[in-house]
Amino acid sequence: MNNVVINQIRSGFYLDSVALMRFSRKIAAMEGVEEAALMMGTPSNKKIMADAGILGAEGEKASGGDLIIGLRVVNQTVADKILAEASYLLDQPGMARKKGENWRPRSLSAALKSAPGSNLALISVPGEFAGAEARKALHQGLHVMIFSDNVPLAEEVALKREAQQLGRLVMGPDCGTAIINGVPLAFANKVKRGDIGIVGASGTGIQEVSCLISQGGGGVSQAIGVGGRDLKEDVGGLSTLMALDLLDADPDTRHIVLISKPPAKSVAETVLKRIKASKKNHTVCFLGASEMALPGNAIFAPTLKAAAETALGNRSIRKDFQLDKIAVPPPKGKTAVRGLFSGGTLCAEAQFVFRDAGEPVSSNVPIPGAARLEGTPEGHCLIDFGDDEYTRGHPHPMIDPAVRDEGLAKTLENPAVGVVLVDVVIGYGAHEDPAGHLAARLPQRTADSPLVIASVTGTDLDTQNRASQVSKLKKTGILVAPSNADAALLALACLKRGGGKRAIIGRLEEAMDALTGLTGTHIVNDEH
Amino acid sequence: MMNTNGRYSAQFHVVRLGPIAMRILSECGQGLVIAVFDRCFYGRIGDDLICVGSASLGMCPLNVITTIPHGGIRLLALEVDMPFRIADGCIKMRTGHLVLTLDGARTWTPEPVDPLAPERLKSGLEALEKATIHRLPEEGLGRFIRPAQEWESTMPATPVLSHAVEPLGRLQAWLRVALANPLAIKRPDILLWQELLGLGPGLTPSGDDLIGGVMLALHNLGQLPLLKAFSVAVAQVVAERTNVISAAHLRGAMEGMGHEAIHRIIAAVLSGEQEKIPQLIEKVKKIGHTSGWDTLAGIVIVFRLWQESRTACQSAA
Repeated sequence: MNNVVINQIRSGFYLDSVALMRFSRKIAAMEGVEEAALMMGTPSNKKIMADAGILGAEGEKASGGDLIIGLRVVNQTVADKILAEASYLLDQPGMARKKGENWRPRSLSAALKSAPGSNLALISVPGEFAGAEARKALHQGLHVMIFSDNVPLAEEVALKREAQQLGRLVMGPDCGTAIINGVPLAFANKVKRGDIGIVGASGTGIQEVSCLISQGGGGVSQAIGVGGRDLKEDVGGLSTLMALDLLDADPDTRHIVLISKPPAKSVAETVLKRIKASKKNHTVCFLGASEMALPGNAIFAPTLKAAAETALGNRSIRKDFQLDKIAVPPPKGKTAVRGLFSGGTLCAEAQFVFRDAGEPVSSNVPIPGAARLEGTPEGHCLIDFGDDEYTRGHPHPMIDPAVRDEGLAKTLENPAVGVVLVDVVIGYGAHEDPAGHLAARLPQRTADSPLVIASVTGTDLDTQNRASQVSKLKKTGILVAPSNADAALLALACLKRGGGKRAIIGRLEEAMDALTGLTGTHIVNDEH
Repeated sequence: MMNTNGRYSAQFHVVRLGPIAMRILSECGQGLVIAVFDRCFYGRIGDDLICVGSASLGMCPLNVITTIPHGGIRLLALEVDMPFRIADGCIKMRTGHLVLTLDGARTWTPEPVDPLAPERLKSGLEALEKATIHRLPEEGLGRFIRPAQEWESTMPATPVLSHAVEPLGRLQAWLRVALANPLAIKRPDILLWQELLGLGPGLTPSGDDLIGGVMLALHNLGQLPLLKAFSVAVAQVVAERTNVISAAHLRGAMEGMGHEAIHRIIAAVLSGEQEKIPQLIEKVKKIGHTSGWDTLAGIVIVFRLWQESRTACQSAA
């Protein structure tokens, strides 16, 4: 048999000893290998390799700082295969340690080599490292989605400026949701593909709008998350502007929806100027903003549901959902609403609904016009359980709804609470059955039990299946609204039913008029 | 923190330095990254090397221990040939994306040893031998911690071992004579055992670690003229016999400095603190793949030869 001795030299290539021994053993165990060694090219090691019959002319030339891969194999074909495998291993130092475990790259370079067609990197490392990883990715030709939070603002600004010069998009930091070319990324939902593009500075905002569009008969072309701070003055909307450019140029996008909290004034002007220059129609949903002057190709939407409806061509979503037919009074004397939210934007939107209806509300993450929650909640209080104070050391409530179990139990026992508002968010990254979890934590209802009102953010295409989640909630007597905004309005409508508070009636009707008037949406009085 | 180019820098602090690293970093200079690993990176400044990493690295004379979290080195976008500067109390990557501040860093020094006492050494060596029965690694040269007759017939020979036996025998012969008469040291003929240098597959080859252990033992026995003669011989050939990273560690050993865990076990053996030795062996085991064992082997070889020479002197007297 004609054995073949092959040497490959990696000049100036250092591996730590443990890794070197591991690779040596792996390569030596490969089929067709008679003898193998990976050694630094010192004179003594070359002697060992020569004595073992695996040092060739190439290896002879190596010096102490070079790594020699020395093989004696059955033929050249095997040699080529083994060398390719060895190179692959050496470039992927994090090879699987457990038998049967799939290989996963440990570095960006290794990942790119294994998937050379990639053009997007999703980064989820501690915030202090995210900037460096994002920079690496940008300079290797990739767009970037930064899921990480706790990235310093100055780093975000520097990264986005650099990305702009490179012509690449930075989604985030703290970007929890995106849908790119039909692929849901991080916390996102399976939605129908269509011609509506979304640019969002909010994860659950994008989720709510994309799901409502999909459930409402439309579809999403792209959903680009830009991070919660992008529209601050420091950042200047750099990613938002780039996202608008991309969607403007995308032939599959007909209508563009922009979702955010109200931006800094100067940034709003820049963004609206960019929208004006577009030939496409836009929906602008700056949650909490009052009516604003928009260019002729843009419509203002005060809620996420309204944003979805205008994008669908002013088509009503669940026009059969009629508040005054569905609302029931809470137990007598119980007039407080307590909201337990997993989505920050959903909590904020509910606060805006309350504020615009003239109802005082407090929160741990208050919007302008709401009070900050201090101590024990009193009156209407809407809590974001996804905020840092609840998630430090704990999973996010979307992943593990148990985070709000204690809050739910206390709320149900509170004699002042007449209505409990809850959001249920499904999709990728979310708990496998948040509705089931919630339903299991509700005791048998009595006449004195507070009403529980929920909305489900998701689609029937999600693994958890929205219809199934809704069904589980309804079976336990939970009132289910078609959207988060509807749930907040329903809570207020229920209070109106039971509290005898005439003032609420007037304000609620004003709020509803404001919502319908601005969007042109017509709610048909059908049965629920 | 923004650097002068308007780009953002990740900033960490140096908390502890090895004495050689401290010396190198006390002067301004320019360097290049020469190797990047999971827990550390090596930088070359002139002919010197430093090893920068997180606390999990442990301490040795070249090491610069920082607040970079465990596993964080790989996330710092460091690449071979990346230049850096030492200036203004910092190590700064020229790309501007990483700054390591040196303010407040403490310098580590090796654990001091008790004055040499043959009885205590004897007791320490006995404890070491007891703690290493049936625990010797197959790879590397760690088996030389125990007498050859204990493992010759029970442990398989490896290529590294086979290539080490003869040169090590010649080195031991020289050491035996030199320790017996330290006032009349003959210059070591490095050619007789230079094959030990660079012998073995690791980043610091087993032979280098053993030689390093020899030098640490000589230093801790107070055999400084002997150490000097030995070091000069090693220095003549080290550049052509091994890689630059291992050579840098050997230069540390020439100054009597090695890994913190090694110094602790040396101190325990020399002071006869038998109860500490099993636990310290556990720490030595974790140094590299076999580096800890190999270094310990070099130390034990010298300690035993020194013991023999004391016994021979007493008998002659």
